[in-house]
Amino acid sequence: MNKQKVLGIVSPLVSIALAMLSGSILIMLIGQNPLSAFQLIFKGAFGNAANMATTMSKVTTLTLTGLSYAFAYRCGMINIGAEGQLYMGALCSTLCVLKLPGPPALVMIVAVIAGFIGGGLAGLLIGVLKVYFGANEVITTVMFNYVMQYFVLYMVANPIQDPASTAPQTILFPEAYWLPWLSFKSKLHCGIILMVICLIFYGIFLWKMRAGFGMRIVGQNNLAAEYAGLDVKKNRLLAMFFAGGFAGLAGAIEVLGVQHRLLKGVASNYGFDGMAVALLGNTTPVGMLLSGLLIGALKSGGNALQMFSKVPASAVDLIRAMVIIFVLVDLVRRIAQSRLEKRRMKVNG
Amino acid sequence: MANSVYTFIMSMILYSTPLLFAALGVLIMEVTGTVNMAAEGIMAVGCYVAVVASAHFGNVWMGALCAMLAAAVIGLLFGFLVIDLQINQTVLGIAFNLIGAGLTTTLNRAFKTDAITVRDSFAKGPFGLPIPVYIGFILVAVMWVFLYKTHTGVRYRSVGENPTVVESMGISVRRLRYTACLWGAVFVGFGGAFLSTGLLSKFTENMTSGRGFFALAAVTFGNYTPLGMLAGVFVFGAGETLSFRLQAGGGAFPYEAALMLPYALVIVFLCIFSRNVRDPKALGVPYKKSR
Repeated sequence: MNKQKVLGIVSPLVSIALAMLSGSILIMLIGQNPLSAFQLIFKGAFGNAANMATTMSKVTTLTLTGLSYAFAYRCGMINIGAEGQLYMGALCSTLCVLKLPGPPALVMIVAVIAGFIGGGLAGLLIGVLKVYFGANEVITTVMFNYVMQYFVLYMVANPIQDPASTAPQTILFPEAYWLPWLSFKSKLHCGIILMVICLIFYGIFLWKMRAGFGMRIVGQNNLAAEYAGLDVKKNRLLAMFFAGGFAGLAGAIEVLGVQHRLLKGVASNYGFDGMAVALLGNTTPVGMLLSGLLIGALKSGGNALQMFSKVPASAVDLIRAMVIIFVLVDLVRRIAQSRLEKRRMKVNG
Repeated sequence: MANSVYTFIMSMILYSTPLLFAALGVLIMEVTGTVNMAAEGIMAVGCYVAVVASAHFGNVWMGALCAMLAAAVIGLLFGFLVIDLQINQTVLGIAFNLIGAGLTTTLNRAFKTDAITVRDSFAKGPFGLPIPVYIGFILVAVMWVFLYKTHTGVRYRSVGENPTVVESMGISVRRLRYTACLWGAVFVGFGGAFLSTGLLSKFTENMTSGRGFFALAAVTFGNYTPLGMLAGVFVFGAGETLSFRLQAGGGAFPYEAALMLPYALVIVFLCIFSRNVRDPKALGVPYKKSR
């Protein structure tokens, strides 16, 4: 193994350790024991088969939102809108289940595809606003997240509300429309397979296909790409469609496989979790699978933490944010680089 | 009719004030070339600290001062990370927002901050608006004079356009940008303080609800000028005020559509006006001193 590869493995691990350390300081600050907190998180995430299945379903959703961020990022865009695109996908899937006639299994498959396309169109809209109107995609995606959140709230509180309920949610979908179980006993749904397929597609498309290669060139230097005759606008629009599509698929899986209904707050921060997954995984397929496991475990364990201790689950959100910061600071690589420079100066001077 | 227009304008000015301070902070940073996507997070910390400190000292001005100090620390940290370590400003800013939200939410749940009601309030000036509203207006004028009529101000704007030229004149780009980050964060922090202790007298989780990004949009809308920014602030402040009115109205207008309105408004305005906006040339580009 060469030095770059070692750094590529050591660097994220150090970032995770530093983030956990700063999380521990916060937990101590509010007068709790960080060690037992992390124990609770671990138990909550992997304690038994059912917990592990819950963790895996979270890993599925947020690896997909991670892919959403990564796809846009590789084409030079920053997609903070996975949250809104997830809502859009969830809504489109739900409408299919509620309104489409036909055999449930077929409707379910159509609903999954509709989720992808719905989210994709939502992403495409952001791309259009950026490419043709010059609107900053970070601001428009943040605004769009709020818009979609309230739009879904309107839908589940009015036209498609469960008539038997006062809560803002739809009816529980009939079981025939649910994503099939991989393991019925532990309630592990088959969304995880879809997630892995998407990761493989992402890897092949960007690194083995001509179109993906062009997209990465646009992401690295759009002027050079234009000079080389690549259509920057088209690439960006396509990237945003896929980015939105992955987030929309996450939404479809969330309603068809996890909640089995559409309800208020279904996106619960998955958009930002995805950003952490993408950055920690260095936007590579294998990296994102691993970081998805970590962030998913943290998210899943965070609920246990809140239940069994006085540490709020939001402490986990803070650890996730610190992970992003430390990945960006990239301490290990910086130290390695400055040592290299010093050595060079010695040789030259 | 005239009376209701008057009350609408008054509440629009009042609700615009946190935004105005945040936008002033974003403006001063962005003219020097630093993207301030962290405004939302700094504002959240400002909201939190202001409530705790105001309750502790029994004085909202002390609360605002503490909020500004906390914001200043964050601003310098942000400056260190983007100026010295040259980290991607946009991504880092978003991470700062997540930290602001995570930190204030965790502290709030651990210490039950949202149960605190601040008893003190800002003194009122003419037209019955609190004093910080007037300070905000004065600061817009001061900012205009500073940026266009003073030497230092011209340097600030030049550093956002072409830092190499400024450095070649013997002025430290690094120092200028640090100062801008410090002041920018202080303004944003005060915006947060006024949101929690001026408009309300308590802290609630995620109470900034996108205002930091409204401020960014207002600065873009105003083409990085103080007066244009003020216009943007009023447009988005009007959206918020209208949203509150419609939420309370209980009429045919759906509640959720009222909630959605300010955000949709920002998207529409960005689409219409972004094309005519010219960003500072060095915006978001880290400056590397040549050796």
